[in-house]
Amino acid sequence: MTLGTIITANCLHPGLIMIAMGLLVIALPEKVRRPAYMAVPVLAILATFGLGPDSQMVYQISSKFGISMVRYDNLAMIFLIAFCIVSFIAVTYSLNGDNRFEMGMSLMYAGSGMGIVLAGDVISLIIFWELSALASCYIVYAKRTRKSTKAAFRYILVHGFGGNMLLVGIIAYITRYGLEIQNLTGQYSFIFWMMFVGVAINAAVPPINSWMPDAYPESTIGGTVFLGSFTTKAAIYVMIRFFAGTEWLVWVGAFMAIYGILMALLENDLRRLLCYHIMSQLGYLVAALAMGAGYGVDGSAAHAFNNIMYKGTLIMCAGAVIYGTGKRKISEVGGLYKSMPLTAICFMIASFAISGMPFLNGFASKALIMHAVKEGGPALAAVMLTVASVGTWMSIAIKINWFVFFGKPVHEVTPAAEVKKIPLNMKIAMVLGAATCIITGVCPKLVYNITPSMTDGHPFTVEHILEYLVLFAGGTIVFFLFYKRMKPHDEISLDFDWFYRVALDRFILWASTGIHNFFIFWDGKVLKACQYMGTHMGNPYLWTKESDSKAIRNISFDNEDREIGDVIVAICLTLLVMLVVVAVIAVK
Amino acid sequence: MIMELLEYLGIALVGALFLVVMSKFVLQNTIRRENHYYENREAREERKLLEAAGITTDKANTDKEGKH
Repeated sequence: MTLGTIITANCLHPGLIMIAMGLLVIALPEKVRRPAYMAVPVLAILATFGLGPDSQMVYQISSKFGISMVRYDNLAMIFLIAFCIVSFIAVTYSLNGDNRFEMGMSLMYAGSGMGIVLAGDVISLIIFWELSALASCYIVYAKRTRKSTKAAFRYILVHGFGGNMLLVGIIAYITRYGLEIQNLTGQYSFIFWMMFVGVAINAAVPPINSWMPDAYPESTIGGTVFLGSFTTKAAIYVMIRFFAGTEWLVWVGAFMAIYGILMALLENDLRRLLCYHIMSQLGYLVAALAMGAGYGVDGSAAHAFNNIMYKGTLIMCAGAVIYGTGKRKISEVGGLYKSMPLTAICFMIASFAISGMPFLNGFASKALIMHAVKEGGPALAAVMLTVASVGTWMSIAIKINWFVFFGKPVHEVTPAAEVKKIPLNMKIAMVLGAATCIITGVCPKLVYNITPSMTDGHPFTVEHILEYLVLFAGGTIVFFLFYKRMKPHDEISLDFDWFYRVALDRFILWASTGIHNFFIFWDGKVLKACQYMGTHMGNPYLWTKESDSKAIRNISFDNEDREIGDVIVAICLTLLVMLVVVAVIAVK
Repeated sequence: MIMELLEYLGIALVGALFLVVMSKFVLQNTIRRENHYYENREAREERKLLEAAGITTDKANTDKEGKH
């Protein structure tokens, strides 16, 4: 068998362009680095336009074996387009960064995300998957603080574990199904579970969700925009490919949606709060994909697209607040509308979009999801998702807009005059993000038409619009009823990471103390035994001295009352026994 | 349609109430109790590092360091 390294292709791969240019950006001198950095997503967008149904790219390892890196269909394209747009926005936002490694790694991370959604077989999927984990780990670390280093270490542990689970699943998958990606719904085997756990970790499915609020807020403000857009959405894409139609996932999704909101209501750190919202929105995506092809998969894909847009905008605005004030907690800021009006407006648009406000993009894609779950799923799951919508409105649209931008500050905050001016590139990126939320919200067909089945949610009916307005009214009433309780508090909010931060810590403490005590106990016993043996072997008469039998005690030299006659008798008897034994042996 | 909207309002009110009670009462109290351990451990670590660097610290001040 001859080995070759030939790439057969009739198109350009946007992901590979990003990865190659990412490496180049690291090496480029400072003068040309920023223009090159800015040009990369444009090149990726151009390459995406060049893709078509006949596109293929095969990395020919041998004459009989090749890795397919391009698969063109609507599902791949909707994710790819979203990734291209958000890459452009995120690059614009982080243009004033000065860490060339972070710039390069961000491009490589975005490229590997594109590689995942374009993967034509499971091998290229896992290669891009692992590359994505490595690049994102660096982005978490890039701030180079003690907290970011620790967070990056925990991040790579979790994703290393998840990546290995997926790798094992894929190896087993190849032996049974071959290289082609196919749906595994209903085939509950070792392969299914290994792959599901591997993907679920990246999709932040509880109880392995805490890596996200742990890691993302520790990265730089530009890094968080990249992080919030690729890993989880690529995981949802892989879930759609392999597990779409797995009905019980609707419960997983509904739980994620509610749980994310509960934690977001508690959270005080701006970016951690947004991370819980990512998780909650992922819940909608998981619930939708559980409903299978048609409204389910289309809802999941369309909502993923819109989620990337509004979530990116929210993270950018939160980053702008952190940049401007130097504070990351809601309790430390307030009344920022006056000093950061553009950020406030962009945040408001994106927060209304995530809540599902009519004429913004979240509204249109939620219509598909709710239709799918109401038609094909359990009624309780639909109610849970509706309640999560109310919670989203309360925890982000009211809570942050009120306490950070428009309401009076709860505590003493940075004076408006001291708020740093936001750079132009960051402003442009935020406006672009907010504009996409409006454009795809007013013209939802732009997104509907690139979903796999091209279903139309018909969102703009009077009933549907009123439904959402009523939901928001209910949420607003309860929020202001419990206003005092809803005020931000400065405190830690551990969730499932309690298990490894507290429970594991306690277990290690308990186990190490137990092991220490165990050895101390046995060390003592063994030492005592050695001491006893040593002393008594060295002086056998001590045995006789401590004996329970008076006769034996009496023969001890230590015994002052010993009778020498007894000793002589004992010696004679011993000799006699010995003679008898020798005689018997001799006769035989 | 009005009945449907009222139904939605009911879901919104009950749902929002459920979320507030669960997060701000049940979860918050549970988490606060459990987090003291973590908070103190973080503060201890911080203090050790500072002391290793030769900086003496006031315990009350460093206890706040571990917070997110």
